[in-house]
Amino acid sequence: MTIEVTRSACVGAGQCVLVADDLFDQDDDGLVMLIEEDPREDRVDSARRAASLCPARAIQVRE
Amino acid sequence: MIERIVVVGASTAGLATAESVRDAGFRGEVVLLGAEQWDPYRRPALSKQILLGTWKPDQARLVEASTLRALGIDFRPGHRAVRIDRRSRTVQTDHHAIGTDIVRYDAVVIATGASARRPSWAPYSAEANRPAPAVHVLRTLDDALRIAGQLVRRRRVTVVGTGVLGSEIASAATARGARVSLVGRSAGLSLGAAGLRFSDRLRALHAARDVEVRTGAEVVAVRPTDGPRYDVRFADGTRLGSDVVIAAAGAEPAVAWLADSGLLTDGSLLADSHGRVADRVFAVGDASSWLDPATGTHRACGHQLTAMEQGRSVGRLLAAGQLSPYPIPFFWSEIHGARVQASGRLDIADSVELLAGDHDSDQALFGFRAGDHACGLVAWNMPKPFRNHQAALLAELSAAGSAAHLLETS
Repeated sequence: MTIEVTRSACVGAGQCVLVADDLFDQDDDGLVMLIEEDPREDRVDSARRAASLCPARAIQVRE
Repeated sequence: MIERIVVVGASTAGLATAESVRDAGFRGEVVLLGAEQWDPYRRPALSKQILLGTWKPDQARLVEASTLRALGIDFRPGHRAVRIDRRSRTVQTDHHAIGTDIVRYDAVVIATGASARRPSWAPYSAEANRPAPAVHVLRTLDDALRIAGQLVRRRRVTVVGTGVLGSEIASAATARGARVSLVGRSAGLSLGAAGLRFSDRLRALHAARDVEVRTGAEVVAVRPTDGPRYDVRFADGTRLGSDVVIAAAGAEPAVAWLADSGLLTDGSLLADSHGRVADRVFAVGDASSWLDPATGTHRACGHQLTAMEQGRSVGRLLAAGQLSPYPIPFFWSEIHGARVQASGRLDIADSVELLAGDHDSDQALFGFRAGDHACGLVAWNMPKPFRNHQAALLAELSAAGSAAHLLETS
């Protein structure tokens, strides 16, 4: 599984960091930074939850 | 037995419904009808990246048609719903090339969104396929591309509408080098459900970029002239010469096609707190108003995240029979480079306090309170403090009994 983020779509809501701060962080402007693009299997649910909570749909999780 | 789900409308709410129906394990047919020719796209980007010209239309795309096919979603762009017949459980559609089609459903989800409101001084003109004279409105990707083409350096642009959309259009037009006036009847500039509380802050942002703001100024007519292309006329007799006029006067639920369906109450499509309208009929997004358990009244959706959450809520209900909590509002804006984030129930607040930053600086975080409880947040250029406070706010709002305490204090 891989995670992709579209930084130009990010609105800095930070929902992804709240649910998975080992996968996502925010820069000084609040924009998403991907820490781990190829997470362990046991983090898949958290990655999916972050993607579903993103108000800008800026996170894609691909099998 | 539900074997075929038809989602009418392929924007944020409709797409989220179709995806979550599959995600929750529904194995039957899913048909997703889109009125526009485009693949589903990010509507909030229209007044931002698309008007600014920093995104091509492709970058606004939410999902590829091939991805939808892989999910087993039968996406049909360009099929506009024109009628529903609940007795035969069919939706009638119209396609510019194919013509009329009849789509049978076991359950239907109405997600037809909203249309830009056309003020009386900018009536729709069938010949030009837009209001006459050339007063633009912004709701669809085609609208945004048409307007973006008009935002040329030194042109005089008048934006009529003092809400967030008006401010965003004025901001984008300024960035493109146009000379912009932002006008409207309201006494100030508003920020969604926060109303006029941040009017001074918005005025300062516009003033710093030389946007002329005229509030308390009601437009009564727009007339073609010889000099600048149009004369915007106000109720007090004053005039404003403009090359481009854009009306940002709000949006109306796109439910005219349901007129004879028996589904409308005084012209509105009302759903319960889980999106149920009638037997086998559900509604999500801007087309409908859901019953708000906190106030006992029906509320419009209004924002992208709420539209997504409503779609997922109905998707899980249809596929798995699960009821979901009522969505908590969130919206964002970008105005002259300032990033605004808002969360919670700003509409029911009775007080507002500064939580971080400074009243006079461009960075500030405000907490909204209803009685003894936190009910909302608005951040100006403070994304990280916003995130940290939002965690506490969401916990408070979603805690058991939150609906009850909000009801008592509202």
